[in-house]
Amino acid sequence: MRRSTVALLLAPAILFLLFGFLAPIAVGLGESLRAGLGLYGKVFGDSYYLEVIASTLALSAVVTLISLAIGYPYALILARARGWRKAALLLLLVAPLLVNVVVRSFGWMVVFGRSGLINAVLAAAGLPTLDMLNSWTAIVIALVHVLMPFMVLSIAATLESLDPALEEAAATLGARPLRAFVHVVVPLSLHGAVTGSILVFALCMGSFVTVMMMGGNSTMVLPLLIYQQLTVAGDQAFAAALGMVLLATVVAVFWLQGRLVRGLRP
Amino acid sequence: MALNRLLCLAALIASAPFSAAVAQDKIVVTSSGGVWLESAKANFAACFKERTGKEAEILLSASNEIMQKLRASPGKPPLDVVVLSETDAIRAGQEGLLEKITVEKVPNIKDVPEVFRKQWNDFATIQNFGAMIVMVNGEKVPNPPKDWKTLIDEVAAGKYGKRVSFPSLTMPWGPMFTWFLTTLYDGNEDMVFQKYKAMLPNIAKYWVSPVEALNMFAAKEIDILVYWDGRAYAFAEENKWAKAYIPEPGAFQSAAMLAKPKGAPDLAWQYVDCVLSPKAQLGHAQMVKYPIVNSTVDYPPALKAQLTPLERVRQPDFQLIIQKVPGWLDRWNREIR
Repeated sequence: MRRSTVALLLAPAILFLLFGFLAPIAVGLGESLRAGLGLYGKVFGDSYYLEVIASTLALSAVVTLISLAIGYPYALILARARGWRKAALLLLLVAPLLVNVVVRSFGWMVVFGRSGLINAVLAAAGLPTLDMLNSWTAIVIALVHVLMPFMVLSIAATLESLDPALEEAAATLGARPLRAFVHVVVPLSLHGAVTGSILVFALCMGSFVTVMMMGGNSTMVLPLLIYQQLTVAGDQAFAAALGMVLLATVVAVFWLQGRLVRGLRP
Repeated sequence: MALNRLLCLAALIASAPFSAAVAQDKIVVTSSGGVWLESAKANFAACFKERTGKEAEILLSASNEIMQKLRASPGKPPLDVVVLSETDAIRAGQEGLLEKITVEKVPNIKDVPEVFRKQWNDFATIQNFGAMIVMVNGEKVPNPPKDWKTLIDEVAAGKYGKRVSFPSLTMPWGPMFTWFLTTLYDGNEDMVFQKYKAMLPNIAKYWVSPVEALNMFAAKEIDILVYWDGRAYAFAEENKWAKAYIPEPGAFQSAAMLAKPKGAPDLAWQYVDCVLSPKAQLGHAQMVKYPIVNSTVDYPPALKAQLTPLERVRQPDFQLIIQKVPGWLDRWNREIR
């Protein structure tokens, strides 16, 4: 392909990234630095904001790990399914993405509520009811529900591309199925798991509607704090500073993750 | 060569909306959703069409979203008439994003009392107002307290269990409610935050979304909800177990602010005038169940009984609230959890 053609084909994507991603970051950075580094000092010098950053990271880590733990077996079965079974598994997986986040949250409220589905079943069984709504537990369940497809699809795509002959070769050399899976399939699917984890983690770090709707009086994350600063306080500069901190935190986590994965590779 | 042609075609297609926008055959206005949108169509846009023969395209937009759009294109707004929150309308006026409303441009403004415009320096006018009142499940709370202070103390004492919801300070009208509470406690902010904290163990949730709040009440997750009057009365009308009332000594005034962004075409004044016209105002009040501001309108008795009278509401000091909000928000996040 000629160089000019390559440039022309790449141009729309590059322009889109420049104007849709880098320009807003530059504007946000400029806004946050209008009064010097004071706003960053406010964030990093105050235990409350550090606690919110820690809560945001912890929530994203927990959601990512649960999505990985539940999603990997699903991805394995999906990758090896054929015909209508595969289609059914796919539809079941992506169904949460077809529903608006607000409607989905209201659905969870019906399930978690004091007189909701879970408590109705518990009460019918003579068991004590649970106060799940407006808690971190409710937030984690709702986020895993909607973010798990990103994990599963990433892992399944990698698993589908694996040559079945590799497992057959391991079996021929005397490896039992579990050993072949642990030593052959898992390492080779690591790339998909990392991609899925990055997607789930990044999406979770930016989630605030689910946190706002499903959380309680004590649940706070960085995106929600940013939303408050914009909608209630009208403090664009502080919202921009918090946005930059959120971005830097995500980039730092990805960098650490990259180093960790490089260390794990055989 | 073929690629170049494709590029030209794409450019032509992409430029089409801009070409269409040059011809001013319609204006773009904003509204809230649901019955508000229906009313904007049936009352305001219909009046505008009748007067000018042109369409008013109605966009569903939240106040903060509108503010970002106006700030992003000062003097060349993508919206011709906007509905803002009270504090955003003050901010927009101060930032030079709005045009002053005058009798020459909007004749019906003469019938809108000054109290509905003064704090906004005529850069915006209230189009309708409401109040935050109390909804109760009459089966569980047959005799609710008559005044706010008793209600707050009884909630803090756990009289109603953890089945109460008040608005959070972090929702857009939360600071106004907090201001109202300070007026009940002689301006003592510390006392108000102490009360918020004292109620916390018995608050199912300080609500942030009006839909979420009403859903909790409708699902009988809570028995007491502090909520907007129009929606509260409408809900109580449809659900006999629900009651709505204004505790003493009244409530704070919550309003939808109407404004024309600077740079919007003069045609947009016609829409503003339509919104404030007696016929459209009455039609709006009948549909949304909130009081309107044109003083020449006479409500039918049945409707009047459903509307919060002006003398029962206190208009917040919005300039003060704008100054106070960052501190209140910070305090709320740290203490009320």
